[in-house]
Amino acid sequence: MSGEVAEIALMTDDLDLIEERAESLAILIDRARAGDRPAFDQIMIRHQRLVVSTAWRILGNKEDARDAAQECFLRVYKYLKNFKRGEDFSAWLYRITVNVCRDHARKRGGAGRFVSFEREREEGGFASLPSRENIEEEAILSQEKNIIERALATLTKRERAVIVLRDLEGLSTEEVSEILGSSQGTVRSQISSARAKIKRFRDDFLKRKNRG
Amino acid sequence: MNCRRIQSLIPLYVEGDLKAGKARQVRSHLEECSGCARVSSEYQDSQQWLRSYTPPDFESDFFDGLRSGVLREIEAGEIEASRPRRSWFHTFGPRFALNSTSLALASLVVFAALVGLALYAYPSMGSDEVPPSYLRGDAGAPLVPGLDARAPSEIDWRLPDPKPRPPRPAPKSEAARDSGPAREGRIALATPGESPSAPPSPVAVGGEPLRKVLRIELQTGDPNIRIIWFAPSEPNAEDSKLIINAETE
Repeated sequence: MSGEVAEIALMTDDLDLIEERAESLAILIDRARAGDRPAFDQIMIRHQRLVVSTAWRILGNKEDARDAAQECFLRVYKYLKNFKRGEDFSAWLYRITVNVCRDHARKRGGAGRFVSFEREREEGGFASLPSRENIEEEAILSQEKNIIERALATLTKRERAVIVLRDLEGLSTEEVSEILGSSQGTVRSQISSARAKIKRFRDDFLKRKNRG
Repeated sequence: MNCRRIQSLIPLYVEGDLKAGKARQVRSHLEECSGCARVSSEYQDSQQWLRSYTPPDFESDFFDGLRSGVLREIEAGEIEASRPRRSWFHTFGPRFALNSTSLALASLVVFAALVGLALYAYPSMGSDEVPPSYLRGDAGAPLVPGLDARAPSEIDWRLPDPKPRPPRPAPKSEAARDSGPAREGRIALATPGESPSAPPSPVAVGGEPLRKVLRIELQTGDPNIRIIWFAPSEPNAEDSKLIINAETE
């Protein structure tokens, strides 16, 4: 019984903390809107990890992620006065981040880093995947991420954005559809297609690894 | 659902993206089908593998550099905060401010216009007059004659003709009119065989001379049903026929 009481008290504390945090964010936003630079800096500090990690997952490298994150915060500053009170700030920020990353990928040329699964296979991309010995070394060197990056590079830009938000950032399908401005049905279809491509890439990778 | 359909749903099933009903169907299929269960397990592993794609640990210098770059651009004035977006109403609203009275008047005008339009389109709307056809049967016979507001003489009791007819000739004499097909409700005294359309005459029984009968025809609302009643009449009723139209009763 006392355990339950303690748990409830803890939950209440958590809720208080969340409310307090949301309230303080609203105050920071109001101050930043009025031109308070330190307040805007505080907003950036709170959300920099979210923006940078999302941009990194979409663009696939640190430099591009930094450029995209910088552009993203500049857009936040520019359009902060249009942000509606009561709206989910994180969702708004995700939307801006995804749009900036798309623009960034477009500027970088064509389809960005997107390499179709078939093209990767035809061009012998899988042949350059490490052998069993190398895999062990690469695992030690944390190169697994590089392989996943290759798997993600086989997705279209839309599929990648969807899979990053849904599977890596852990947002719900509803949130993803709102952020991307697509219907839930479209988002589900893109999620399904992206997961299937990633599995196929991984299956091929595992076959090669076991053969090697 | 067959295995092919199930396997197309597995990518969504593994992360709980299916609706409850479909998820239940997939789950029950996976319990029985080892092939699909293996595919599902592979998808779960693949998703686990994907989740290991975590961003590197960015140093604090990285974030400091990012923020200072943003603030530098803002201070350089290259980025200007946009003015809050104003809706059409906020932009033009104050110039055309409507108070509650003018809003009520505007609503009234719109309502009156709609009612006028409806009356114009359906002129019968709003009339208390009940069409006489409501008071008569299909064949024109009154269902409840007393309900008709018109004088009985104004009521056309004749049956409607299903086919268009040529214009009628000048009215015949009453006797001539009665010799035609009986389409009116009437009570007539007639001798047997008087009219080709008349029913067979009462048969003489035991060689007795034929007696005159009273023939009463009643046309019902259904043009196919006519009630004819023969009754013995007085011998001195002669050949005279008495036409009693319903309107004179």
